[in-house]
Amino acid sequence: MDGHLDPLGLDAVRAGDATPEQRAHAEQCAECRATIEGFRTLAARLTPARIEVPAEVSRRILRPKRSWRPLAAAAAALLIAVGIWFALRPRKVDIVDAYSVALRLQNGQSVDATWDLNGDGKVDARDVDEIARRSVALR
Amino acid sequence: MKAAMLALGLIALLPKQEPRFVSVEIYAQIDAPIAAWQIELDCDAKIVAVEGVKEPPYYDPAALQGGRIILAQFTTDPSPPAGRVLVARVHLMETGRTDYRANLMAAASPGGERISPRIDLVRLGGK
Repeated sequence: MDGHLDPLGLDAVRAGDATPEQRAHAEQCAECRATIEGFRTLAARLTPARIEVPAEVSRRILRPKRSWRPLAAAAAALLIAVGIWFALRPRKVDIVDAYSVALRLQNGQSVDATWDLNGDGKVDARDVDEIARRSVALR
Repeated sequence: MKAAMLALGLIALLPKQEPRFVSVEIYAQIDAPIAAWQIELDCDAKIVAVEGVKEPPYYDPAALQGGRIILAQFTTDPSPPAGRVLVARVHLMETGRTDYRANLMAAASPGGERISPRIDLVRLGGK
């Protein structure tokens, strides 16, 4: 190595990641050690001091109130309301539905259980009647 | 003010429109046999009764005394009528000039295939 350490070498020694040669030079050279010491002082000044933050401020800043919670709650409530409406909404039917169910019953064919509109556990002529009555209901 | 009173007096002197009872026959027309039909009738008259052909059609009793009704009927008879078919007769009370509007809501041929018959109305009675 010729002469003194360059600024990068000086700072490498200060930071502790210098090569063995750089470290050896710094140990022998008072001028370089003085410059390194100056770097340490400067680095210490530039390093921000740790500030003690009050717990309440820290809580608010580091763990801010999660604003998505009300939004998520509203979305969940809306989803539930839509689900309830969807489940309870009157089924839209017309006379062709009544006719089709009546025809299947007459022919002894199976009928979808969702046509049990009166909820008595079976699909029969009374459900056909209910489908027909719903189809003409004034809304 | 006097002019308004005079106008009201003249209106009171005008002969009142006597209500008249009429019937409206509803026909569905298509080449295919009609096994099921559903028709909406809308008018300014008051509906007083509904009559079917073989059986009374389905309707909402709330439609009576009003001017709008949905009528429907079906038959599982394998050979229902085709062509121009009288499906229902509605009896009404008119109190003035009345327009009748019919709208096909649904219809099917035997087996359940949806069809679109033409609907026409024939008004009977009155002037």
